[in-house]
Amino acid sequence: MAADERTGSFEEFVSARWTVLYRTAYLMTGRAADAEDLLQATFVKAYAAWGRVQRADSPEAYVRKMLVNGFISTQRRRRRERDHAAAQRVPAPSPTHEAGGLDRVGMWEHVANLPPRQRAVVVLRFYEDLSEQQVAHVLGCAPGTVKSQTHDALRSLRARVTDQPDAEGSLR
Amino acid sequence: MNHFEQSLAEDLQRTASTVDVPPAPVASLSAAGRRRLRATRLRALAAVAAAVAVVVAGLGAGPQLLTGSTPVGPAHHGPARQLTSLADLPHGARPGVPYWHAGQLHVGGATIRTPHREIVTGGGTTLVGDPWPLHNLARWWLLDETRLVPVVSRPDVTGQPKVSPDGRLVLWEEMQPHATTVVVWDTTRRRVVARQTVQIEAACCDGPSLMLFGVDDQDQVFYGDGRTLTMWQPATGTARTVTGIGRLPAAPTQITATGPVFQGASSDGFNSLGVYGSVTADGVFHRAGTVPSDQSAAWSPDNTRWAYPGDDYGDFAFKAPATQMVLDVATGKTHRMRLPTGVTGDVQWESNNTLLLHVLTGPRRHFMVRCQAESGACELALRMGRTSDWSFPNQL
Repeated sequence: MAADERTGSFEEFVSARWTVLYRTAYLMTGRAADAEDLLQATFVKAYAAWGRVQRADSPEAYVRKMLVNGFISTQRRRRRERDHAAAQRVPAPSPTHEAGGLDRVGMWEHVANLPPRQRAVVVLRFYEDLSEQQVAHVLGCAPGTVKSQTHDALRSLRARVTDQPDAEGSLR
Repeated sequence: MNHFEQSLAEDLQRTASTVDVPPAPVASLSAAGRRRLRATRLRALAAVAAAVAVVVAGLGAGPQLLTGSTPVGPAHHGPARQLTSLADLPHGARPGVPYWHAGQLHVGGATIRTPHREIVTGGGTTLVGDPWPLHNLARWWLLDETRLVPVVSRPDVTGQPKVSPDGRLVLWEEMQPHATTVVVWDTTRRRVVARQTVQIEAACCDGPSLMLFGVDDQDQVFYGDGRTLTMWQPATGTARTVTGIGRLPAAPTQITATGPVFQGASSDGFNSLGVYGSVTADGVFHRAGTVPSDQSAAWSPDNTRWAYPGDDYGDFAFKAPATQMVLDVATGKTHRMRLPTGVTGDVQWESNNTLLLHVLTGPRRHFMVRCQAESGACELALRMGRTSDWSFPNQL
């Protein structure tokens, strides 16, 4: 692919999808700065793999998959760093509790405190409105894993929001 | 979607719509992307140069070194001809597995009008049921040609029934307050033939902690609580704790005709190698081999092929754009299905040689694709609109 052609179609794609993907990144990371970092890193990777992105049936779905996996990898790395910091007796702030963090709005306060994978599943299921199968494809896991992650996330949210388990809440 | 989930969705929408979106740094992203691409290419060139140097050194060192560097491992097939869209595929016959659409169950050439749209199959046996328990009553029927024969209708049945690989047995769980009963129903005699009550305290309000995993072709039923795995032989009433699984998790991810598949070493919470084997009558697990993933994959009915999402070279693809691969377990060869990059889906085998992929490509766009396991040739079996109008077997 010619460099000009690659750059032209890439820039067109970024301009068109930046806002939508930024919102998804924000809901997952919970911080504007983290969302921007994550999205920029994702787009840089997408440029390098632009031929494959364009050949995908849905380039946006492909980039969203890169975004979500980038988010999970970053969180895993941060957890290791936090563990290391804890071992060194250096206090490490939780990314979801830092100053200047989320605009706390209703239930979102509780979503932000879910583990990263559950947060990703909740955002894809209930913000992106993807089916369990589609979420499984994005995350590269079995639909059963999505189902159990969703179930666990909703159970936690119900418990936090209502302070009591919801007997009706069966997803099975 | 219930009220709680609706509120959650609305809250997420509200939060997302109120966030200030910074402008897209389009030009700097392109520049950074070009730098990354250049660095990637330089690394690739360096690797090629290093490989050439090794070969030259090996030739210089004579045959002894060459013998030591003989490649081992599976012979992978390289990338096949790339298609750009599923629309490029030719149209083929409708799926040979049962499916439900718009109030009708399609079985071969016949259709049966029924509202029961959840489908479980195995070894030629088909059960249909309700996707959600109506009035707290779980109901399942056996498909007998064009009739639906009642199997079970109880309030305490949880989850989907399991069908044995040969289709002779159907299993389900009945949940009591402090115990769970595993029930075995014979599809030939059409009655319950065995029951096993396990005294496991329900973990919480969300259901029992007992998990029914399935049954192999030796009629060995596997269940457990996540800490221990039990093998129960309904014919003799013997239940044994499965040993020999070492550090593998005690909850298998699948039960195939020959036995359980466990999740192997994991660097990630989602996917890892699948370790498969069989359990002998004394309850000992004997490892037979590994497959590239423990989930998102399926064995062919004759247990000779493993279909999984992989990259162009046959490795299991988690973060890379996956395409559908088939591993021939006996030869170790992988075959890439001729589909556009990034296209995978829920797999089920239509026969020992053909697999069906349920592929979602976007809202109101999903397809059933049939591929030949050996040649990788694919065709469209169904082109579909709204996901909720269709049901296929063994969907979770």
